[in-house]
Amino acid sequence: MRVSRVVHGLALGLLCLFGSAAMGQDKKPTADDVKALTLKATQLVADKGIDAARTVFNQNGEFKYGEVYVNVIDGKGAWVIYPPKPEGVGKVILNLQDADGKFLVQDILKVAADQGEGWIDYRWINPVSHQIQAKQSYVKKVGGTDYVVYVGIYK
Amino acid sequence: MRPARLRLSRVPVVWQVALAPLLLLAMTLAVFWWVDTQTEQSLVSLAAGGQQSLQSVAQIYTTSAARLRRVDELVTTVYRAHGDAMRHMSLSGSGLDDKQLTDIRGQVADSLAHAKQLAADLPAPADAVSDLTAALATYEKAVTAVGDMAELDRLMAVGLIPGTETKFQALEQALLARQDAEWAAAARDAHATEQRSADSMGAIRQQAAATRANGWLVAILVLALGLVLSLLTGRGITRPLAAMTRAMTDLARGDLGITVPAVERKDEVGRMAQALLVFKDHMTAERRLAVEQEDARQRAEAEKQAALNGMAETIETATEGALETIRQRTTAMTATADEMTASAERTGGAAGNAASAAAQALATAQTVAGAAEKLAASIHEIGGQVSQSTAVVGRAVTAGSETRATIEALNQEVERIGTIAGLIADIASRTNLLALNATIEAARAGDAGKGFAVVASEVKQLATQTAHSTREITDHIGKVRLATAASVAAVARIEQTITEVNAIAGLIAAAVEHQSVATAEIAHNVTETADAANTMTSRNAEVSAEAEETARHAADVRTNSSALEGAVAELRHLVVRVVRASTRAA
Repeated sequence: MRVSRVVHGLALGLLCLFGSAAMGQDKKPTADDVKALTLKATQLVADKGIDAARTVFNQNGEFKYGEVYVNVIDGKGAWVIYPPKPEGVGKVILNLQDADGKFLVQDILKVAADQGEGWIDYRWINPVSHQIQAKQSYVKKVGGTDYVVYVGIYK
Repeated sequence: MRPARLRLSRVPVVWQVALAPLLLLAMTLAVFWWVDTQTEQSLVSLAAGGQQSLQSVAQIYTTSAARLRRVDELVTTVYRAHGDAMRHMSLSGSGLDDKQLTDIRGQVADSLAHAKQLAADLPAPADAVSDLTAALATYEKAVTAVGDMAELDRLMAVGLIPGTETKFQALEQALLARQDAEWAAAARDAHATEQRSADSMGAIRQQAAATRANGWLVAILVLALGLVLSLLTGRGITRPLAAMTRAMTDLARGDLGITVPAVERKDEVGRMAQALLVFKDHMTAERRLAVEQEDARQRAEAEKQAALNGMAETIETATEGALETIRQRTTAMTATADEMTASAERTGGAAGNAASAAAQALATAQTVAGAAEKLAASIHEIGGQVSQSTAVVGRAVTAGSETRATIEALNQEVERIGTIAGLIADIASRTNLLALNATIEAARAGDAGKGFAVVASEVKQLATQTAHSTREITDHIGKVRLATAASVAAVARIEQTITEVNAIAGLIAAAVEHQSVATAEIAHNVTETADAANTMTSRNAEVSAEAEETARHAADVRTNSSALEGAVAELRHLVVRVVRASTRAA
């Protein structure tokens, strides 16, 4: 248990360093960046609790920059943390579908339930360009809870 | 049957004959009436059924149209709600006023509420497969979610569109299904109405068929009944008629022992029987009369023979008497004829004497006629002289009148001269006065007037002379006037004398005229006397001839009377023979 905590702490520290470096670089994040951020966010939720995590995630910084932000939903598909519109927390988005009709939230929950973590692909309107673009999100279930963390980027 | 016929025999044959047709007609009319009533009922039912069907169809149409209209309104409302929802979503976060966005959402909510109300007011047909209300509720939830999400994050709301579309499509399907269900319900109702109409039509057809069949049956029955009735009434008439014919035929053959049938009947047949009875009685009476007449004829024949015989004898006797009378008359006639002959001879002699006397009278008359003619000529001459004298007298009268007129004209001239003489005398006296005045003036003038006094004296002398001459003229005129007056008187006397002469001449003329007429009458009478004498002469000749003829006829009479006597005797024989012969013949 201790060992694992240490490992986690190291990882977090690395991520923080990395994230700082990335933030500071001001360039488009890669899929690996997103995956790493997802894992880090998941760890944060698991360590500090959901309310602390929400505060962190809603602030611009390591977890919220450019087009990147951290989403947390519960097992019923309701928003737990949604940094673009924090007031939307509690709203169920289980039935969201992408441009092709894919139920992406259900897919997220499914990946989380079946694999614990993994990538999902879908197409979504880019709020910057207002064009539908291919997007991918990395999904990670928070252990011991029904929270699911995911972070997406446009390809 | 018996009492019926008895009753029928009381009505006239024409009614007996008409009975069957009339009954038949009445029954036919009844059948017609019945069939007509039935047909009318059928038609009324048919019309009622038709109207009911039409009403049902109209009801179905009205109801279905209303329901379908509501479905249509539902569809429209849902589409409007959907459109508004999409509008709200697309306009969210576009910088539009929140107020306007809220209004759009309000419209969406209102439309959906209205749609739910419409759906609630439109109870689903029994076989509706989809639950419209449920579909509406589901869709409303989806729209609400989209709206909420749009208010939060438009891009996220976009993600809810496909799901909402799915719900909307489900709602659409439910609406279409409902439309189909409404149509199906209408069609079902229409079909039911059609079926009902067909059923009622079938029932009416059956009723009509039954009516027709019954009508035929009744018609045949009526026909049969009419036939039987006709036969019965016909027999009722012909049977007594046949019996009557037999009786008549027997009677015509002279069989008086027959019994006349149907006498008790009150109709024409009964009357015919009565008439036949009269015939029969008459024939019986006639037969009796014929026998009596034969007896009478034989008696009359015998009587006639006896009478003829009597008559012949009477004729014989009468003829004898008559012939005797004729003979006597003939003898008397002969005597008369002889007398006539003698008389005729005497007449001839007298006629000859008369003829000579007449000849003498004629000679005398002729002499008188010559004298009368001479006298007439003289009288005529006197008449001519008198006329001439009258003409002369007329001329003298005219001359007298002219003379008197001339004298009177002269007298007038003399008077005018007298007047002028008076005038001259007046002038002379005035001239004398002037001359006296001139003399006095000349004396005053003295010597100067001496010459003038001489002239004045001369003038005075002339005036005196003039007065003197004038007096003489006046005297002469007086004498002339006296002379003319005497002349006028003389002329008047002459005229009077002439007038008297004229009157005397007129009297002479009238007397002569009278004389002329008398003479003409004498001549006429003489002529007539001569004519009469002539006529008498010729008549005397005729009388002589007639006398001779009479004598000849008297001789003939005598001859004929003798012949008549013979002929009468012959006639007597002939008559007696004829009478005898006819008496024997009879």
